[in-house]
Amino acid sequence: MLTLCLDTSHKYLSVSIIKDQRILASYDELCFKKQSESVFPVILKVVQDAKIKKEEIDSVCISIGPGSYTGLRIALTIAKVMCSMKRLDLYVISTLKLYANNMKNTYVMLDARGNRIYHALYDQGKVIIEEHVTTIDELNLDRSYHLVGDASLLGLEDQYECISECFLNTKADWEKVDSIHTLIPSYLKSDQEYIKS
Amino acid sequence: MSVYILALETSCDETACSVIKDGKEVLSNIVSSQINIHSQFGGVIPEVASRIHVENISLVIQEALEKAEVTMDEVAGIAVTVGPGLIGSLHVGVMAAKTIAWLYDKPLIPIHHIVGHIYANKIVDDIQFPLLSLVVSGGHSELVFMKDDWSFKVLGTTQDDAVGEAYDKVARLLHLPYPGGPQIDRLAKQGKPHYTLKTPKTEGAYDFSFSGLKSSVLQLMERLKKQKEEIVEADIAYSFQEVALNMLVDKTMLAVEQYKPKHVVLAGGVAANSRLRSLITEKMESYPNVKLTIPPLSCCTDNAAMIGVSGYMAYQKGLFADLSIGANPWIDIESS
Ligand SMILES: [Zn+2]
Repeated sequence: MLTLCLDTSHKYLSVSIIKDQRILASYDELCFKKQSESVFPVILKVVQDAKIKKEEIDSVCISIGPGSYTGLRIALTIAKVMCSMKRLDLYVISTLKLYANNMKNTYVMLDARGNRIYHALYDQGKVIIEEHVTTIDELNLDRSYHLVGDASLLGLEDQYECISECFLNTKADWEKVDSIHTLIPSYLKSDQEYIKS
Repeated sequence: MSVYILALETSCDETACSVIKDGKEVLSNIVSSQINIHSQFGGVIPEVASRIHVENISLVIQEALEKAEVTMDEVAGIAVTVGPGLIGSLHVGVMAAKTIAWLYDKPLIPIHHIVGHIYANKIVDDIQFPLLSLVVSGGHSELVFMKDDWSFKVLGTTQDDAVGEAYDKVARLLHLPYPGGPQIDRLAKQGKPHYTLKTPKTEGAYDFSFSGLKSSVLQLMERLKKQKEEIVEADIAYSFQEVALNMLVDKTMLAVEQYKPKHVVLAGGVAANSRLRSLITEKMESYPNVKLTIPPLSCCTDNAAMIGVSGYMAYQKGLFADLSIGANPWIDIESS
């Protein structure tokens, strides 16, 4: 299996080619607001670094959210178009679960703006607290656990694992998508709510 | 050998894909409209529009290729609207087009949305130059002069709201549903010249202004209410429409006088307005040597066929973009 992995759901642009249990080539950089311009030049470079032809890619895996709405649509649009037209397998993983990197007792918190965060707790891929939107004030963290994401919101240092490695380490949790055309990101905020606010 | 262009358009609230043969023949023209969703809220909600685009995009592309019975091997280039429009909506189409261009090693052809509206006329008629185009829609009101093929000069533009926007706002004042254009057009047919609304002033001779007109309607209604007079909605619709459309048509005629085009074309969603069609036809009778084209309704509203027709022109000229291109809501037509 030769998989193109993409994460554009938050602050990073992560592109990697994973063959079975190995990363052939990868790119992981902070990328503020420039993901849509950068993503293809980066894909081109990563495919070249992996010494493969793009025609050999047989599957795509993306993070499906929650995260930045605009960002989520970048990887999703690429994946939907690519997999439907070339008949490739499409896999998704929750952005929070991806970032938890299959580690033991790991909280993930991502800035959802307006003093809110996307939050979840995992234990080696097992969901302990489901992903949800909450406020920082409502957090009650066990200090002995790992904390991944925008920890600076708590006055700590931001903590991120290498996202390409996260894709590799969470491979058992990738979910295969049956209906590519109808796939939508997990925004954690419905159209209806969006309109009311 | 025939040249096939695959075209995408997602600048506002229609997710559209089309295959065009030799720059003229529409092999498929799939439009997935969001109008039912947005009409619940009285207008387009940008975030909701973006969400629906990403939901529909891959299916719309597949349908366009299937309907056209063209394979990607046969396609020469991928044309896409890069602006103007809603940034989040544009993003989805541009990203999809870049993906296809990369996957199949095809040139990526960026197209200005207004260029698309003007060239839509090519689907139904031969176009001649110099050409004058009145582009009117929910997002735009412009007079564009083309000395030659693929040369664009904006003579005038709206200084505030687009004409379609003004229709929507006035429709809301009259408690008519969204989109307001067809509603006001229909209601105005029953109206009489009963109220007087002033034509807003503009700086440039070819510029438009509509927000003042909307305010005049509001002030008129408030005055009538205060004086406990009956508000005849059909008469308000009539007066608003006459002022708005006469402003458009008068300035078009002024440009016909000065720029002496051989061909005048209407473009954009508001070109579907029946009163605008009759008004411009009437005024153009004084210029029997100038050809007038009013495209059928299906060509006026946003679609990808018009992007494909323009894309073919740009393809012939080698106007390609690389894969680092982004959506550009502020793109200038004169640099096309
Ligand atoms: Zn338009």
